[in-house]
Amino acid sequence: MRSDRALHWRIPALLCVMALVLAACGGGDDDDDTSSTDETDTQGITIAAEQELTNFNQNTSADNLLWGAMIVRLVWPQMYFQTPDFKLEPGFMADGPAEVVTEDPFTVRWKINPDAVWSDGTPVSSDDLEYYWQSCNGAVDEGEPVDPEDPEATAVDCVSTDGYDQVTQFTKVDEKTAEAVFSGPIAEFDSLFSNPIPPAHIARAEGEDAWGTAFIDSPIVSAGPYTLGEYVKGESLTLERNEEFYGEPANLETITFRFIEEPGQMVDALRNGEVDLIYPQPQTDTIPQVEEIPDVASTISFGPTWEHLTFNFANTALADAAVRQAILLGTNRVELVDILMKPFSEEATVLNNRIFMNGNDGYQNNAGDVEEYDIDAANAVLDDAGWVEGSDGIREKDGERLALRIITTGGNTLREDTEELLQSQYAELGIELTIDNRPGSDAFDVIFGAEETAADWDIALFAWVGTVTPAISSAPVYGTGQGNNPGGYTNPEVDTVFAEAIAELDQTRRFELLNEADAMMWAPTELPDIPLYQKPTHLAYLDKYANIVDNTTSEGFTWNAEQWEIVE
Amino acid sequence: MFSYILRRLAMSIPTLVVASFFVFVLVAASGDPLAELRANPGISDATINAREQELNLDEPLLSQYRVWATNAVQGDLGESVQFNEPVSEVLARRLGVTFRLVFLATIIGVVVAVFIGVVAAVKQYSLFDHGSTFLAFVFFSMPVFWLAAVLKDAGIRMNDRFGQTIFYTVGERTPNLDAGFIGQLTDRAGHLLLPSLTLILISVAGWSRYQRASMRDVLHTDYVRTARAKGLSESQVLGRHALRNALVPVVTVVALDFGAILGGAIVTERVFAWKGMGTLLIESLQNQDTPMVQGWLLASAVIVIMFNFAADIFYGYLDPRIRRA
Amino acid sequence: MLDDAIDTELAEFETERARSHTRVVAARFLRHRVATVALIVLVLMALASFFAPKYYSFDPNERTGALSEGPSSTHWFGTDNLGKDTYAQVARGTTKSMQIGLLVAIVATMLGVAVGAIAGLYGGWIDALLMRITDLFLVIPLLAVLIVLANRYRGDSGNWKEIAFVIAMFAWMYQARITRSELLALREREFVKAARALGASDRRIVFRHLLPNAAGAIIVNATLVVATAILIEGTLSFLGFGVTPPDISLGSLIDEGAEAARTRWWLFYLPGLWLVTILLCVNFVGDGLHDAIDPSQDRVRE
Repeated sequence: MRSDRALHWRIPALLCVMALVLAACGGGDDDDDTSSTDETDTQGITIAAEQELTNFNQNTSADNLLWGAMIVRLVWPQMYFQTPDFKLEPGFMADGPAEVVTEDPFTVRWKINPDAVWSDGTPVSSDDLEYYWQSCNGAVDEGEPVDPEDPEATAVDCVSTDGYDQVTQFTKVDEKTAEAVFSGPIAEFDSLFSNPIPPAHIARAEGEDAWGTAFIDSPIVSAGPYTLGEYVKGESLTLERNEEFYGEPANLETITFRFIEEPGQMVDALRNGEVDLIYPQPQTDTIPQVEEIPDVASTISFGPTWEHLTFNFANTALADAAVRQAILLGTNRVELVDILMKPFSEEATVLNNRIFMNGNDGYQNNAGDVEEYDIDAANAVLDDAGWVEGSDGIREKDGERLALRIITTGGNTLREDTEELLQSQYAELGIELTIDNRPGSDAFDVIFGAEETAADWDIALFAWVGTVTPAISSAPVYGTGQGNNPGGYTNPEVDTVFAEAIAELDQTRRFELLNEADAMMWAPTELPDIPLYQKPTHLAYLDKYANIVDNTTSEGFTWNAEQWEIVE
Repeated sequence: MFSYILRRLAMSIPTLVVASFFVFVLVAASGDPLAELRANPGISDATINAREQELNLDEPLLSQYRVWATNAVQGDLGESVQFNEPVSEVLARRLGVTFRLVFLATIIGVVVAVFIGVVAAVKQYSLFDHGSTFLAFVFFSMPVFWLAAVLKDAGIRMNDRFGQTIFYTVGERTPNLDAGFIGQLTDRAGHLLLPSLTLILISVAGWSRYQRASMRDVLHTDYVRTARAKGLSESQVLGRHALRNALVPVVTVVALDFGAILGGAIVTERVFAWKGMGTLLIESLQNQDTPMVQGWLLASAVIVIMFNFAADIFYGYLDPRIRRA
Repeated sequence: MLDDAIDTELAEFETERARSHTRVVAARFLRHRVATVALIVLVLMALASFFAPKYYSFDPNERTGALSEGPSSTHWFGTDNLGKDTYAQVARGTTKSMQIGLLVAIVATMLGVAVGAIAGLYGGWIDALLMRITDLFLVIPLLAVLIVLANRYRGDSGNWKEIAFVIAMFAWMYQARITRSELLALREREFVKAARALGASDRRIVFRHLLPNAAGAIIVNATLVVATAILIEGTLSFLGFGVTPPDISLGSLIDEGAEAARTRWWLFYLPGLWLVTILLCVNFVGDGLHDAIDPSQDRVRE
């Protein structure tokens, strides 16, 4: 029934299939239109995105990713957005800036753009703001049962309740006007409603859990310059121009975000014409490679993400101010910057302020004399404090060796390199530094105490992200007993100055107060942490695109994407 | 032949049961799915207990397995933690991507390996034989991750030289591509080029050696000598008598190697940023997506068993003696 | 007593035979020119790596002050961005990779020989069951299962031993098969029959007669296990499931250097070529040993 011949033709047939496939591959040579960048019929841009958004409502603590915000801000509107020079400006849905109506009680009024409308025809209204406030006022403590009848009921998981939780009364004055009464003066009230606002009418129709679940796969409606197009989870997301947008229409027809994790792969993709714009974590090898690619514009900026060493005051050695002072003097921050940051940019410099970044309004050097690396002074401080060198070269006092552990997010090359440099610098001080990293976010569980092993660390290396609301966001980092103060630093005087700053409406005076608080913490007896440097961001794109400007705030570089255009 | 197929099929089922239990135990042993919840001080014990009951974690392992397996048989592999969608849907999507890569690489790999093996065996100790043997050793000794990275580097250098993109290095297609059917096909083929070449080079190295050895054994058998003595032409001898018998061991090896090819695909996907099964497994492990990992392993077990089943059938077809055994 | 004496005599006879056998094997191996060269290169690379601290001027974790320099007579394989010397790191990585390879080979061989010996000795359903399990392990998508298991130890410092054990759990199958088939073949040989006729126990037969004779094939395969283990550990490190700093393996070095392929080629290509050379040599040696011990390639298969 089966002849041997069957096998004979089968193999040639296979070869034919193979030849066809190869022919199809070879076809790429003559066909120029296949490359995404050479398309002439649609004007668009393809962006390599490091993260995939997890929820179009990225205002929850789990979904608050930089890339989520960058995508969603083109679809959902904001009352305010952050400019590259750290200012807040009214966004698409705002009709002018928010105003203080009365100072006592402190009342703020927001006016909404009369033309603003969702893509399903529903007007963008004060109800959208009210829904956002209701979700973010933290009325029920997370995880705490409220109603004995309904033990599952918890507060909505909102990424930040700062400011919203001070509102005692929220009023929808009319469809396009809202007012809120605060429990006391809040200077940085314009930071409220500066995240993309979800459509309340859709959410309210979805029911209780809508905030966290209704928008996982789609924004459903749009009130921004773009709408959602093709979205292949795990691969890519395309935004299409919103032709019915009530504002100035966008220039580019499509913006495609392609999810690529590794910086090296992004660079290859840019070089290969597979993407048009990349925003990789800066790495020693990616920057020179990008600069080699013809027709590509590449910029390095120093953003608000600043790396620092936080001390754990629970460690008895670190509770000794002399040890902290010696570590500051003995940390060669200039060498760290020279080795780790200078390969990225010659402009890299040491950071000498915990609240304002280099180049911000309000930045000043608060480090004073302690700024300079001085190993002799550092050793003298330790000698005077009674820490004497033991037989193994490590200092000790009352039988306690000066051996400290440093923890950071394992797998982050830059931080691991920093640790190695610190290890050799502290060896000169007679301090033994042991590296005790945890993979990725596990490190934060240890540092911020989500684990049994909580507080089981001595020095933590991680970053804070500076914001346009320095008073509201810095106070919890240094305030007594605050959640963002894992080292347990406490100084009532510093607490008072921060409280004053939060309520101070005059910006100049507010910045003075904040600098005063920072200067206090640079004193040799204080030193809750040591700022190291600001981390650079790297934006590179084909130079046929115009108007692309990096924005190192949490707004991201898509802050003006509607204005991007192609110039041939 | 039919009863042979039935018998083989019957043997696959207990294997699948054992494999699925193994998968379940393996994942249970590899970590606590509620570790993240337990670590969060804001979550009460009541919530954790409720979640435990929901996932049957409070029951003995065997009954946990029974629940999982019963659902799995009905096509319900649970809900993925990281994607918030059914595991089976994510798997279906990702399998398609990997399948294209693995299928193409396996077919081309087998054809090339058989060709090289046969020529090397027939022209034993020729330059071709020595050359192919040496190259086989070189590629056999090459880690997939290194070879893939080297090929990628070479591909980009070639693109630079030709001034246009022939070799794609990221993903399995250009998203949002505005092109017709031929354009889409060309685009996908261009993305396939380097990843499949990686897998082909690695697998050809091993398989061609098997083909060579088995062909040489066959060439030394009596029936081939008889065929030659009967005055059949060399091509008839090789094609009709030798090759058919010499294919048997290679088919087995390819089927056995399927797990290894899948391993190669995991690495290749990583290097070329393909969003297939390999990337999925790594992401699921990093995100502690237990149902996804279980589903992944079960799906791959089913595929491996199917492959072996197919190989058995093919084997029986090539060598009728086996059917009777 | 008498049994013992005869047994000893038999054993001595075999040892003598084994000795001359070893000489024959060695002679055959040495005729295999490529394998001989490979063995020499392999031994040299191992010694060079192991004794690097004795003759090379730099430590693997030392910051030399030469930042990102290419290969030179001072820094043979160049340096990275912190000024660490790549040759010193490759040497350290090789030592760690070989440690892992050897540990895996030892554990896997013990496991495999145990399974194979039990199967070969008892036969019947035990044999059938054990071989079925072995077959099952052979078709497992190895890498997938390994990363699932290694995930447990991801990021733990000093995790190389755990990783080696995980690899070993899936590297014993060929050892089991070889042991079993050697046992089955040897069981029919005269000296075993003689020992059995003299009333020697199963254990004694296995340990004094069968295993020493099967040792050749087992050792050959163990060299291949070393190569496989080094390869797999490298792959795990590359995927982020391997050794954790401050430990270095060749895989983790290549992973770190991958992004530098086009800017600082020495960080990627030199450790990579080094690893490929090691694996190539092990495979050639294995091939040579195989030919030397089992020169029966032209034998018609049963």
